Amino acid sequence: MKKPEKEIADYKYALDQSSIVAITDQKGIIRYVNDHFCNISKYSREELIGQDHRIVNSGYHSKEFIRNIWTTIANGKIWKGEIRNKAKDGTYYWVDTTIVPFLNEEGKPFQYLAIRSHITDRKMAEEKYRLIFDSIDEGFCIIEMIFDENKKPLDYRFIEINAAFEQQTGLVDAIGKRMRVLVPNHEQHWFDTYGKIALTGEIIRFENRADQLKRWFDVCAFRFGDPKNYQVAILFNDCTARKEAEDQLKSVNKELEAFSYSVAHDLRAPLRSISGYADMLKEDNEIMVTSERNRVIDNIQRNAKKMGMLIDDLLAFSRLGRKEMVLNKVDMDKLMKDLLEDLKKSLDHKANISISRFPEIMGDYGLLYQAMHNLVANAIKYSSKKEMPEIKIDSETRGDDIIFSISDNGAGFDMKYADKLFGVFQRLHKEREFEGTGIGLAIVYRVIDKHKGRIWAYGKIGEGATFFFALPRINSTNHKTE
Amino acid sequence: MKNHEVEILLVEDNEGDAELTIRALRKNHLANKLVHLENGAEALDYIFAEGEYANRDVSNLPKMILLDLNMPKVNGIEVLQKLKSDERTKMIPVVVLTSSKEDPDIIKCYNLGVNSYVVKPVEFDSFANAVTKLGLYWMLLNQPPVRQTK
Repeated sequence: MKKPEKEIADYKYALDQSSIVAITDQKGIIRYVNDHFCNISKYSREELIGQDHRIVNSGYHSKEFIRNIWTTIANGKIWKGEIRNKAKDGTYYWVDTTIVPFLNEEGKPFQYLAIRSHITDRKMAEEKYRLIFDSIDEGFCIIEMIFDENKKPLDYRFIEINAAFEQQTGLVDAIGKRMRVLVPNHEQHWFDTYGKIALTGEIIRFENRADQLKRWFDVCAFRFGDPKNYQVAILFNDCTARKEAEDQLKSVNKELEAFSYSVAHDLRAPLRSISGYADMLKEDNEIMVTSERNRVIDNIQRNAKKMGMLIDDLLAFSRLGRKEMVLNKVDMDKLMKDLLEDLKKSLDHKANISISRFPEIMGDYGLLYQAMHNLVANAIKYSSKKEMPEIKIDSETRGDDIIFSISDNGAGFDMKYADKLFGVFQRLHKEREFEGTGIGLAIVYRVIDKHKGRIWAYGKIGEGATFFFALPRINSTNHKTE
Repeated sequence: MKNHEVEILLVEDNEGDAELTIRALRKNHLANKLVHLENGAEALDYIFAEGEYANRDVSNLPKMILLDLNMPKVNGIEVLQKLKSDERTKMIPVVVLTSSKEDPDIIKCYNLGVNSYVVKPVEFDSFANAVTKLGLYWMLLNQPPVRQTK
């Protein structure tokens, strides 16, 4: 055989051994198939030669896909792609296909040589991967980092995202888009972290907040594929709920600590006094006059009573923390009416209380009652030494809030200590002047806080005080987030 | 009271504690020149001769200050800080006598230069004892810094 002919024969042999080969004429009729083709299609040579190539068509690909192949090769161009075919027994197989048109003197194809390699295994692995990819709850994506000339991370583009991505991020239609376009003010540290991973191959696990997306993310990210591609795979989930629960727990624990501290401290004092005064009686019994003895005994009883009050208040306060809020429409008019009647009976005060009409608000009736009770009882108490105690209870709509106010013309307080008003057991007056444990306002604060409102106060020594609290209006948008 | 020589300044808001402290000191003849104030703001005004005590002779300083920590308005720690950061008063021995056993408070006080930190025991016996011992120690045994003459 002549040398060039041997070379061609060798190539043909090599080709036949390595790949699935078929030759069709310009009409698509099969003229030649190699052994691999027969093996994979499960047809014999005789069943294939003279048949239209459509014999292995599986119907998987769209009409456009098929048309596109024909258009390409009929124009003399090479077509490359992945095709799913059907074997004689009905099973499917995937082949990575290259179709090469052979051109005649006029440049028109007279036959097509199709070279294929069997990729069913790879395709099945890919499908398995995609199944996992799309069935997990976590978000998963592959991004491509974009750096500037100094390798500083500028941006990244989403190459692949899984089904859960949208739900985890809130980002719709992110494929192919750049992060800085999707989320203009995304924090730089995200880009820095992913950039670092893309450059160093480090695997980083971290938690951080994306302000623009209003979410916390628990993230595990690692470099993906060829380092030159600067691609990073990110597995993540939205852990905002957990983060917020953690924060809330931390603040509850802190409050509990401060609270326990107050408890211990404030309960010890009366105990010490009781013990001390009792001692005094024992030591000085012989020399004490009756009036002095009675004074000491009164002190003992006063302190015992004080401890009882403290304990009751503490229980009320702690119960408040644990109680579940029941939100309903609260008729503040009725609440005030009931409250004032109660107070008239229980305190037997002589204060002149003027009230206006109040709107309905969303809240927990019991808690709001308790808060209003403490505020009004305070107003009565601190104005009780005036000749004409006057108390005014009012409300006003301001924007999304209703602002309630309780003002009295009593002892007032020094604004310098306004921030101590709502502390547990914090008092701005002497026990002698006005009885109290200092927990009333702490309870009010907690109630208002639970209702997502705000409370503040103004006072002037000797002239009086006004307490304001704001609660969301019934139709305000705040309620939608509850 | 304003211009009498003061030996002990007791800053204590709790009536019972105050009465019992004074009683214990009096029993040991340590309470003759004792001034009792009920809150931190008043204590500072008194020492630095300001506010309602503006007429006081400011060079007439107590030999010892018994200071409670948990008082309304200006609390003991703030008083301690002001006392120990002023040239005129930083040499006065300050004994914090308080219910608070909490470490952060103790550390804070020592950092501010407190001379002694005593936790008020619940049982009165021990309390009276403690006060007595404190009084005897700081007033009689301890050597005060040299006094500047008026």
